[in-house]
Amino acid sequence: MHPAEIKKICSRAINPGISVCLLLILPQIGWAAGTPSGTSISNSATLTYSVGAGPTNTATSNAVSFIVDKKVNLLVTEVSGSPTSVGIGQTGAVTTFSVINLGNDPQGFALAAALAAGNPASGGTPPFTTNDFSATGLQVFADSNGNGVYDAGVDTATSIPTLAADASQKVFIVADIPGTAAAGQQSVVSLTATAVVPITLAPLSQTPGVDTPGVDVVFADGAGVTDAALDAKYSAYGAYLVNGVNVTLTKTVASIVDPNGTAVVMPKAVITYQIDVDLSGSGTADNLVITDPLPANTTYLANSISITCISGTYAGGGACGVGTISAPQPPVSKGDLDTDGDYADFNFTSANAVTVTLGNATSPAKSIITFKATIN
Amino acid sequence: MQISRLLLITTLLSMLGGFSATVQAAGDAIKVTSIAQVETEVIGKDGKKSLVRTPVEKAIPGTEVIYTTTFQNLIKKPVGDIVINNPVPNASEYKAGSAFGKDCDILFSVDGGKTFGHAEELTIKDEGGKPRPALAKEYTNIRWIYKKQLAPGKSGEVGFRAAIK
Repeated sequence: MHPAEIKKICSRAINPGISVCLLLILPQIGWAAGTPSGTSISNSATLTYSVGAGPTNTATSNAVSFIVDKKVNLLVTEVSGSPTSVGIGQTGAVTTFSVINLGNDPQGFALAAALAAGNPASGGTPPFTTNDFSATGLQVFADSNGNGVYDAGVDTATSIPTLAADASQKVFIVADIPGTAAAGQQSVVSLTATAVVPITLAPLSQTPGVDTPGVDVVFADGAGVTDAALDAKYSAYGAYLVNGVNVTLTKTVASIVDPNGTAVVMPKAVITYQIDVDLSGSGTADNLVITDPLPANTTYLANSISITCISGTYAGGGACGVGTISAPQPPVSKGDLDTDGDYADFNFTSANAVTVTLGNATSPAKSIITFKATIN
Repeated sequence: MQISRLLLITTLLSMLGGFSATVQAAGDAIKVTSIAQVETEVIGKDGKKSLVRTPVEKAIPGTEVIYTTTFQNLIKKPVGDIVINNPVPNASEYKAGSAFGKDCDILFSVDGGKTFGHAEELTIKDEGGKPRPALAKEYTNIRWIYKKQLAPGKSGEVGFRAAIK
């Protein structure tokens, strides 16, 4: 809406004052979803008149009509407006975006994650500007179950098959933070969504040239941080900001028990692996998830995951619960399903791997994960 | 066809006088033409911007369409009591302040054309049943009352703008 339009509404229709003006303006914002393509809009005027003292006559105009075309428009935004706080060496760190279908028809969306170019990030606005290290292993997933948070192993779709007009869906970039990153450094990442044909995800192209009798495809999107206007794409930045937390994972073999009761590495010997999770420095590692693939030539021993929470403050839900642990806790045995609510599983979140979620862990924090495997 | 009818009208007029002539002339005394256009900004060779109206082509939600109705007197007598009625097209929102028409009193309706009033007079009952000023987008019909007689051969023009919802 243009400001001139607002003025006109106020001056024409209003006497009591500005508050009523606002009342008028607010409901006028947005025909975001819009009339579906293919709708025929028709206009015709009727005129009545008389000649001399004669009776009233009626004349009707021609009907002028046209068909509503397909408007392709979208918007991508980073949801939190601030960088995701991560620890050094953290894996599976999540930034959350929202993709909104601003067109007038259902649309599919292809998704792509990328590292921003340049430092400051090209086209970025604060806080997504400083770009002095590169996150690694970027992956992008749609919020398939629609709960607004990334669920590893559940939100596995890498595109949005179909999104209704005016609807939005969350999209996650999942990345790892290298051990070489330093506290205070930031890595800017971009999410680019491209409007595509629903379900088939085939590319969309604009109907070229002059109007056709049927529904034309018209791109109406603006320019994002890395894409141009009217290209059926929109891109936005998010970022990972390394806080003072240093996440150190140390994997050791705690014990070996062979069938003879001694500690010889031989077939059918049971190895207990131990992963020490150590958060040093200061700050919080958000959504801390430990994933450890099973070593080659071993077979996981069912229900052998155990967690010993020694110290730290935890939030957001995780294997060490919520709150501050001031004294070391006894080991807690965990099940292998990801549906049993104990924040630990084998071969569910990640194939053939042990996954333990610790939630938002504030340093200093320490915990020990153990699991057992048999040598083949 | 047009010419022969005109001849007939003229003949009847001369033979029988005005009364029966107007009955016969019902469809033909005034020709009404409606067009739909969009306005686009073009930059000329001199670098100056100007607005150009073209027929509606790419019509997507949000597009502002200009509807213009032209009426022309085809007979040799002045035509009076001219009232033009135009519903706001389907899937469209009337743009506030856009109705135009020289020598016309412009009225609007918010009840599908049952009653008409000037923009500032129109109200809609809110959920509590209390009347509030109607919004331009709630207009359902537009009416132009042409305050003059339309002389033979002359034409008039009225119109409005509405955005595709």
